[in-house]
Amino acid sequence: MEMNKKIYLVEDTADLRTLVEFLLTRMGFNVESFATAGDYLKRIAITLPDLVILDIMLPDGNGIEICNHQKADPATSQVPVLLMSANIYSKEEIQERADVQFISKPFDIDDFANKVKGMAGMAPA
Amino acid sequence: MPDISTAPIDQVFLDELVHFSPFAIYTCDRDGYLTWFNQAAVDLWGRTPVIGKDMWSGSWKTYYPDGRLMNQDDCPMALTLKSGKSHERSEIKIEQPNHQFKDLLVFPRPVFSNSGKLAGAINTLIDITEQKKAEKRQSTLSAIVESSDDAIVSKNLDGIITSWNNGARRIFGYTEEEVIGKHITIIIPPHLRSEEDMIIRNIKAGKKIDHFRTIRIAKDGSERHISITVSPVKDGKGNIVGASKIARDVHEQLLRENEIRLANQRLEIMNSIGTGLLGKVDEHAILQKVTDATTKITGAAFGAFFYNMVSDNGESFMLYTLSGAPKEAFERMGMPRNTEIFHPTFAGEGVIRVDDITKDPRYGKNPPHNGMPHGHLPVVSYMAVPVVTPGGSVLGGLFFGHPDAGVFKAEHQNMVVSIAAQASVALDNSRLFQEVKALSIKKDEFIALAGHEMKTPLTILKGYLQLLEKGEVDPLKRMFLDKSVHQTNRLNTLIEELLDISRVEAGKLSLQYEYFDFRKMAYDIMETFRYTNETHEIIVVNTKKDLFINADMQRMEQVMNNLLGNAIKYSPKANKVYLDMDIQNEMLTVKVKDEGIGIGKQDQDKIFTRFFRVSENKNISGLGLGLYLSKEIIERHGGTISVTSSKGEGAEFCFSIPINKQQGN
Repeated sequence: MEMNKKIYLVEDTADLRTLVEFLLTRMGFNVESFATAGDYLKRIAITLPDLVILDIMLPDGNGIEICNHQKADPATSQVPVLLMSANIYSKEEIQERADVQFISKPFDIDDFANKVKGMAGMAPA
Repeated sequence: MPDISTAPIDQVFLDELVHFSPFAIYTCDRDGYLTWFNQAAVDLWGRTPVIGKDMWSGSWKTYYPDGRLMNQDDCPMALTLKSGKSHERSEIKIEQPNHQFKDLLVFPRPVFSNSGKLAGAINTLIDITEQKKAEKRQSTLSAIVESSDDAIVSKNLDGIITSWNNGARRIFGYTEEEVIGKHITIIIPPHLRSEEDMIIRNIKAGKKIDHFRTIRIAKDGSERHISITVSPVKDGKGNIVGASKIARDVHEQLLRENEIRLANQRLEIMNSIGTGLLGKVDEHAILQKVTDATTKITGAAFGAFFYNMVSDNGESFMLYTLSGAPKEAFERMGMPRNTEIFHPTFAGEGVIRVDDITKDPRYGKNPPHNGMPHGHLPVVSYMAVPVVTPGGSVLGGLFFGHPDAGVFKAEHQNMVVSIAAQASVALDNSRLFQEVKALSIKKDEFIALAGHEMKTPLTILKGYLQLLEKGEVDPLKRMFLDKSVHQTNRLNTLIEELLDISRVEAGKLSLQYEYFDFRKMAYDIMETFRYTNETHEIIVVNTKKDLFINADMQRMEQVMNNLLGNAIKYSPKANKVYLDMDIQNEMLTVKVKDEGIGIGKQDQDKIFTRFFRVSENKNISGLGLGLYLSKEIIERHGGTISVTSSKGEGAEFCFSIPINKQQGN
């Protein structure tokens, strides 16, 4: 079960944040939301989650850069990242692999749920 | 007369002599009436006079040698009889009744009786018509030869000069006395002596030499460019005894030909600039071409274009293009500043053209260099032409230099000015083009940005609608929610199309190749059409099992959605669309045929361009992007797409793609 699994959600648009939070909470995840990259980076420096859902276009940062940085840092490299973007070019800029994936806006909520389930399950507890 | 015979002559001999003499002879009595004439006189007069009636002469009409009509009473015979003195060797002209003229030398002598009284006169007429004609011809010829501008020279077969006219004196500088009897090589330069052998060989063979261009040496040692024509001269028996040579001074002609050649060259350059600039929108290419061409046309050692850059300390000029010298030649120099020499050019005050710039009063007034900086390419001849935009602002200047004085002429100036005018128009066009290009890029950026901005609200909208759907709702509300979700999907498709346009423009439409069954994909699409379009039935014509291809499946779906969607959209009065899919020769060919309104011939090429919509179909919705993107996708797959249609009779769209094209080739 996904109980106790922790997901960090980084999304600056409040209504979308609320929607995703609602979906994830209903699925049984423990969700912490951040509206800025700054707040998120402070938090992950203290505690690692089981999955990060990261918007690419953030007011104070770029999700791809944050992801790359995180994957290069041994402290955070184990955390899987799901990137969300409306910009389909972004998909070409990232190397998709098992623990780094991409979902483009607008997404179907069932597809989204399946992707999250798959990724959160592979993370170390 | 002691030395002629005084012995008496026999009367019979005398009669024979006078009657049959080849000379015309006649006699008159002392009153002037003709008393006797011989046959030769009749022949000469062209008539037979009447004895005792014709007076003074038997001629029909008589003239003075200069052509004035002569009163018969004034003719030499009349004068002889009236004066009693002979008028021998008088020259007259007579006209025969048939209007033929004869020149005559007449010898009237008075005859006296034994008593010393005047008895009459005799006259002998000698026909000198032919002699006169020959004389006239000769004098005309001489006049022609003497007055000719051409040198006319004759020489014998040994090459010795035998005649030399005024023209020859003018061209070669020698007088007749100086050259007659000399060998013709006196005017032939040593390195061309073999020419003379060739000429003589030809002349001996009876051949003429026509318009032979060569060089001869004048008395002062200078060269003369001439064109010679040499003809054999024959004696009365037809033997070749020498040559006559006509030499024309072609120096002027050469100069003119040179001028024409240069003018043609310039025209060519001007023309090539004109047509060359027409298609150019790249500023650097325009300026380089203009600099190269004007440097060539002016004969400058080097030429350059400087931009007019206004800085805090007035004017400074930035080197932009250079011709005839390497860029390093100027690299160490500072940029020319606002000096008396340069200012007028950058103020657009007009052309400066100076034969020797170092002697110009404006030159050398500015420290630190007081003239050209050390190491500057040597400039004596100087020309500077401002390049002014059609709007009147000074874009910069074309500068030309040459180490010799007086190289640049008014004609060079005119040509550079006219090229500069063309260049400024081309530069203006270039600027407009760059602006349009920048605007177009901005537009694509805007579309991309707007598309992305729309996607986040769309995601939220769709997400909440889907959440609502999952809850407990009655069937009517569920249908409303279904339709709402469907419309968010449609909205997303429209946004994707817009984004695809900016991807295509940015060259970022990338394909993700995968191996899939095209037929299965087509059936899936038909399934969704069955839900959304109840009006039309899609009939698959070909029933082959599977059609595996290597392609971007999402993009192929996009094409099929577009073609099938169009077929339905543009056949509102029909209810069938036909789909034919087949693989042959490693090519997948798909045909979508409808029975709709069709496309006129004039629009068939345009339907594949972006934003194009057939004008009379304004009431059918769409952005005019679908076929443009489909064509782009098909072509990116290495395929082709085309349409067959005529107005009112439906349309068939057909595309083919290779089934095994690999990613990236």
